[in-house]
Amino acid sequence: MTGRRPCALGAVALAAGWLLAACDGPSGSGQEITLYNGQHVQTTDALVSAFDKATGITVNVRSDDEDTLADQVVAEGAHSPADVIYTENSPALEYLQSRGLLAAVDPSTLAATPGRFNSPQGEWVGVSARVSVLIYNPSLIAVSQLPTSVLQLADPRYQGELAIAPGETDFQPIVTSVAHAYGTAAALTWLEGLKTNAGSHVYPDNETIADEVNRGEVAFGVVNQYYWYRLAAEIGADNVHSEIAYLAPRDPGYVLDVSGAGVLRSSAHPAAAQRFLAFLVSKQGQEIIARSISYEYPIASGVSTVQPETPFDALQPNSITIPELGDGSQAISLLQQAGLL
Amino acid sequence: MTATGVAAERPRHAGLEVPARRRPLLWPLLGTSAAVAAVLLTPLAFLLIEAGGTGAGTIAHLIWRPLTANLLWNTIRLTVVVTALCAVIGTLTAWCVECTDLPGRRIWAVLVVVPFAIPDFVVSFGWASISPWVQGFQGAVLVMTLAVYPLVHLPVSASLRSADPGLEDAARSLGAGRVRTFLRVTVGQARGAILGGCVLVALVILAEYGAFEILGYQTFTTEIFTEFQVSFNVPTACALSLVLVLLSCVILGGELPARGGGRTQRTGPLAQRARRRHHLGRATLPVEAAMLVLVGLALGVPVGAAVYWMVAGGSSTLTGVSVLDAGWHTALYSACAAALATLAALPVALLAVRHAGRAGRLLERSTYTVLAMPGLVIALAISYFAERYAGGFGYQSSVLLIAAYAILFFPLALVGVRASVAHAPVALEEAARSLGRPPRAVFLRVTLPLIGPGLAAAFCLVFLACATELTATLVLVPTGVQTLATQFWAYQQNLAYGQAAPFALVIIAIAAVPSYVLARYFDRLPGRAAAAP
Amino acid sequence: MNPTSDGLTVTDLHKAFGAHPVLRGVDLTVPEGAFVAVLGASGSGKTTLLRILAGFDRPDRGVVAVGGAVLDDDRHHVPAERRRIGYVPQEGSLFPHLTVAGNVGFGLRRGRSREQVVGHLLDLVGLSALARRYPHQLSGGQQQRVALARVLAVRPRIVLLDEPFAALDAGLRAAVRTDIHALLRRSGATAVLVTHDQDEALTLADLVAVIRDGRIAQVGSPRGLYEAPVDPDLAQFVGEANLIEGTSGGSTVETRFGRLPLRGGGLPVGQALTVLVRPEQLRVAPATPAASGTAAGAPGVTARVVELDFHGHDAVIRVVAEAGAVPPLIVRVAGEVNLAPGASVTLTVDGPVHCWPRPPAGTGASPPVAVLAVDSVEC
Repeated sequence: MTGRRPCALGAVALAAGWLLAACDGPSGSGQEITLYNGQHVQTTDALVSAFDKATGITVNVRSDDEDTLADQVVAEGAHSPADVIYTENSPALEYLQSRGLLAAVDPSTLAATPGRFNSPQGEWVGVSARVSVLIYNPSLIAVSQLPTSVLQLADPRYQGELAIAPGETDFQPIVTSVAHAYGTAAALTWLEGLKTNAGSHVYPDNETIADEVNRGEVAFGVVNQYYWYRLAAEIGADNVHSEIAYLAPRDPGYVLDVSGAGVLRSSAHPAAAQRFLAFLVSKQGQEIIARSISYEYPIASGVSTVQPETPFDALQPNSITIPELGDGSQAISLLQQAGLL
Repeated sequence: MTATGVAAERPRHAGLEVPARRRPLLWPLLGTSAAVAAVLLTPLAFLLIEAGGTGAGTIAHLIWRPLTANLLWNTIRLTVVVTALCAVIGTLTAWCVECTDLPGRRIWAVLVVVPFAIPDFVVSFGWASISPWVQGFQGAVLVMTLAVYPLVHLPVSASLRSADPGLEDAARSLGAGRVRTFLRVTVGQARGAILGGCVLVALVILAEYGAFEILGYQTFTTEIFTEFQVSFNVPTACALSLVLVLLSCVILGGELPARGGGRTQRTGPLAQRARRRHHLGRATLPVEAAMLVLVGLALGVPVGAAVYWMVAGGSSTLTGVSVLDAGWHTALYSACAAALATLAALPVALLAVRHAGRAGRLLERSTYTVLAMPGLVIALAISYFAERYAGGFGYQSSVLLIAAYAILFFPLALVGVRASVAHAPVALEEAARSLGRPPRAVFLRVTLPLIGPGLAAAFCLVFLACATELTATLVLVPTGVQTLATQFWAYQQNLAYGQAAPFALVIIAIAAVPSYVLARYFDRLPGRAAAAP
Repeated sequence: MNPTSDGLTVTDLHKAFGAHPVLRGVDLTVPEGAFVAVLGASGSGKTTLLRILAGFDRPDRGVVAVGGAVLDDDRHHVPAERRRIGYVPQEGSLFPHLTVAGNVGFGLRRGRSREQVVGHLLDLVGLSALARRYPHQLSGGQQQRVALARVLAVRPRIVLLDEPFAALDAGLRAAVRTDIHALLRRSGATAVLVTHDQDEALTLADLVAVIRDGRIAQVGSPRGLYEAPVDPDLAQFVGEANLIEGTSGGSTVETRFGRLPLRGGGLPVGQALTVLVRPEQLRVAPATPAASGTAAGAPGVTARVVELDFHGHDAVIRVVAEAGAVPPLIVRVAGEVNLAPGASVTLTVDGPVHCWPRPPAGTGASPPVAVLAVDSVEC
């Protein structure tokens, strides 16, 4: 009888659902930790599988935007299932640290990385670095016409040629740096100028900026360096129609930002979590970062950059420090005032 | 959305309706329905609690920004335009399939419904990757119209199927031309169904995020997501969500006066005359071409784009779960949630249809507000209550995710179940009882077979919506598990189109069977009377 | 009120929906095997009565008993499925998802005997060839017959029919009526038919109960009801009626038509009366100037023909009296009629007439009392 089918199906489905609820996600033998991953999946995947092979500890990865994950950690409180959080930029970690949610990192782990790239309070460790650059399409704009200082981005002559992604967490450190160097009033004016220049080229993320510049939809944009290298690797050198350029040395827009990881105070597996952190900054972990398609800069254990990237030592970023970059709330507030968020 | 009434002599007293007659069954139904409605209102409670955590000053400051006005304008104009377009397209396709002798209409009937199964963000991904023209307002209009018009098509074709063909003849004999008859009689009769479909379309647009994100079209909802993601400030985002709820109440409230006072239900015997179909004649070819274009755009472009990217997309060394793994989880979660939602909708539908009174109507309407809330809000609400009142029980387990789905798409289940309950009138149950069958046997042998196909259609409607859900899933899915939607989104975000494409195709493939069931059984008359196409 | 051993007894039934009383004290006794028609206008409460008998609604007050066993009273309520009372609703309510055979066999237990019974019943209603069809493939009359077969299959003690012929077109109605009547007779079940069509009630039933304003106004044989209705309103309800004034003369009554014999009799002389003259009791003859006053027997009344409706087998003539004291009259004449509108005629009354006391001017008619005795009411 046709009427019975939905009932039977429903009963089976519900039963299966309850069964599944009892055993969720992958479960292997040995230890497990849960990683809240705000980094790009390409980077994390390689690290996680290598870690698993090296230690036998399984890592359950939950990937999402780093700010969303930070919010989730705060909302989850003491019941958070996360053991480690790994973010793309430092502000999210500073935020969690300021709320007392991170545990102290093993001193030996911290020692593997230069001090200026770690949390001054020792509750998170820097794993890799990225620097802000301009990505431009040579057929639309000549390198000599590019702005050399970050303030020039707001110059009216670039109207309609600029692409920005104000919602990207990568963009906020630049705003913080500008405010730190020139004051909040000037930063607000600058943002408003950016908004005018960008017009309709306001994108949700940096991947889209890289894509659009490469396709010739817009002349240039502000991204982090690794996006360009990744694009080239993915679509092949023949299809690359863009280049990257740096702002003037020590310019406030030339920001070196650190991607780091921390162990949550509420973690149920602190020892395993600390081992993961140690792995991230170990030679093996850093080599993976150096040679992987993530194209970020390894900063620990003396591992150096691999071609074709500009060597780390050759970079001349602004001297803004991690504490000065803070938790990004000032940047967010400025962006909201300017109407970009 | 339509009900075939039964012409019988009942005492004509003002205010006399079924309730007085069926008093014994009223209270259990009322109780269960109230419980269901209470669960569905928990997201609203969450919003109020969280928004209460911010000061009124902050909320006012947030809302009275020029940006807000801009976003509201974006949201409203998109909603109005897309709703109008969907109303027209959905009604026309329903008319072509149900009232004309269009060749191949049985196939069209299914193909026209399938676009609903494609996630909106897959559709916009497909279009955006093809043409740079598709972005901003125009892109949003194109994408949303093509993705969502089945929500109008389904109820309208159901209404046309059970409409009284005699009315058209009467109009024609009174001198109304074909176009006037169509507009004033055919569309007039289907008025209730059209409006119901429009309400669903409007609510879905209010809550949409993924598609607009890809198209770069900023609406109120994308702003809410930005607040959640960037500002570490859940309370303010909740405050903004309340504005969305207000908008949805306006939409829900506005439908009633628009419906008008006239009755659009049919009274007459259940066994129907076969419907005479309009002969298209010379118009056959243009109409076929138009259907082909519509289905080509709505179905062909996303599928084609996905195939293209799968074949041409570059390799990326991104790893993720296998398509099979993601597909299995998607199917499982969606099926459980669909079963739960359909079961929960049954008491509410029974109350609304058989005990037509204020309480039933109010309960029914209150459950629709959920549709306007973005999935993210529902997910956060559930996590919040699980964390506060259940010690985090079930957090990031499939239980909460299924519950979130069931809450989020309950209105869709209600639409389908309500339609099917309307086709199982009490008179038949009474006839069965007078033949000596106890109530349980009556339910199993009479009621269930009659509403069964409609329940199956409601199940499929929710199943399809769950399989394409993204934002609630991202929050609540168990760690390490991916659904087809989340894995697609992850790849798409990283520009790994080649790897994203297979997931999109599998979503569409999984949706094939439920779409067929939906097209076949949504709001159909019971028994073999439905067979005549 | 003696409960018949196996019949249906309804005592003082009350039912209200909200603030509106629908049944206000219905008393009815149906002998076993009888065919009873409950006749009433829309809103009189007849469907409510039927639904209470079937067990779908509970009365507020009163007792329903079948064969001495109480089905409904203040304490008990036997649910519909245990009453063995069949119910044929107005629209038939065939199960659309079952075939004709499936419908008919619905109330029976599975087994070989079920098929036999179904086959037998389908033969009985003449629809064996349609056993595999679905309800939507049948005509209205066929659907009603299947509905009846379905009910008879479970051998009910009582069969309730709710205006079963209302949805059929007129031509079909007579044939289906006869068939169903015959079927019920053959089955031997007690039948209660609810209708607003007095033609139907008078033709089919052994006993007619007229329900009015929630009470039984009169119960009687069709003939008794027609010839001796309990008040003028009822007289007009069960057929066409001419009501004229008269004065009692003991066993006769003085009217414009002269002295007429009374049915019944023994009234105080001089009592003012309302007299019932049925259309077929009026005789009409073309008026001749010398005829009035000189015809043998009672004097006639001169009138003028206003309208003539020819029905083939008879004609209905509306006439207006020349002298204004007599109201317009309806005359039914069988056979050939050679009168045209405007013609002048003489009217006489044939046969005994029925009457009621005329209440003094200003007071309304007293409410009718439910009557159990079968034949005529004494004036």
